Amino acid sequence: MIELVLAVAVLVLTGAVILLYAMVGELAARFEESVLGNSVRSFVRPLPDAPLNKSPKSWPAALTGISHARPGALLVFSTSCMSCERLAPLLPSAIESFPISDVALAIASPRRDLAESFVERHGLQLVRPWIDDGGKWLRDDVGVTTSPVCLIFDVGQLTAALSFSDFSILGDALLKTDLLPLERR
Amino acid sequence: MQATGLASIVVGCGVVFVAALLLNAGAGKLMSSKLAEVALHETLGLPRSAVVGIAVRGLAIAETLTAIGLVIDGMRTIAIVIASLLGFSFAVFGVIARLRSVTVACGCLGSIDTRPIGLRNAALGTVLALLFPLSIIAPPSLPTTLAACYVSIAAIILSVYLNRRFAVEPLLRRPAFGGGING
Repeated sequence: MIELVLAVAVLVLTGAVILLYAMVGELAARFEESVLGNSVRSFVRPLPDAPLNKSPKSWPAALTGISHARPGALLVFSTSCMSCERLAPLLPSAIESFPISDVALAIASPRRDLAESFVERHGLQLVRPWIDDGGKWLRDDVGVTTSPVCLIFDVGQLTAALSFSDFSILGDALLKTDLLPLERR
Repeated sequence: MQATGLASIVVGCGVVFVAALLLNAGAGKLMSSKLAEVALHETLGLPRSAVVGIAVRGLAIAETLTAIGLVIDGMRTIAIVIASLLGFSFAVFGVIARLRSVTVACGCLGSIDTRPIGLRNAALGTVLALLFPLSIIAPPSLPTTLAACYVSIAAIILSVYLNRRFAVEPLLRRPAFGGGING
């Protein structure tokens, strides 16, 4: 009987310690939110396993401008991504204040008609997006399979791949890096 | 005979690990359901509403109760079944997130889990799901008192490991984006 009581006591203490740690985690997250203004819906983080310092095997004709830019940004959306649905309508205005002038948009979609409907629905015609059928080029030639992401190229070489949830935070993050020429930081 | 005994010990270790994991997952989601709500929204298209928040907290309670069930000898079989079902659903969730290229944090362990949801969750879910078939092959022989001690030790070690970002990182903090984002 005493063993059972001790076991319960140990479990209760363990629960308390774990809850305390979880509370510290939550407090730290809230502190980061308040100090950095980085809420759970607003983040910029490097894409794990992105093939950095490599050039895509080939470039589609529509993106040759980005392949020669120094630097050039390729924003990647997908028709099956919820965040992309939320970010897409904001893109035309966000692109005006984007810290990189050479920007292009690639839309990965399993079907071309879905991508065309995505472009029309969110008023992206003026951005002149390039549609990647089945995400084949992004997957096979670039090595990126997630969206939304911002790929930064320096004369065709991938120097950064950032997953993001907010254009302004993405812009701020780019300004703080050494990815941009000094005069633009 | 020896092989069966060894298998039983391995499954017993599995039970301890799963209970420790579920205790941490439950505590994390009880503290903060926000990241899990965002992950559910991005993966399954569920609206971010009070109902989903309550459901996440309900899942947290279910995980905690399942962990306690894994400790108590008389309740272990049903707890293993529930843990396996939870694991199967986590695995499916991870696969769907991967197929949809979701990049938001999983929130599976509350605010401390900021890595994107995906195949890692699917793999961990599969491990949980395997607990039931393995326990049929080699039922774990673990008295309640011993199980409570083992699970407590494992849960605290796991908790410290999961929270190392707050315990260790401030001491080794580097300037954000100092050497290039991916560098």
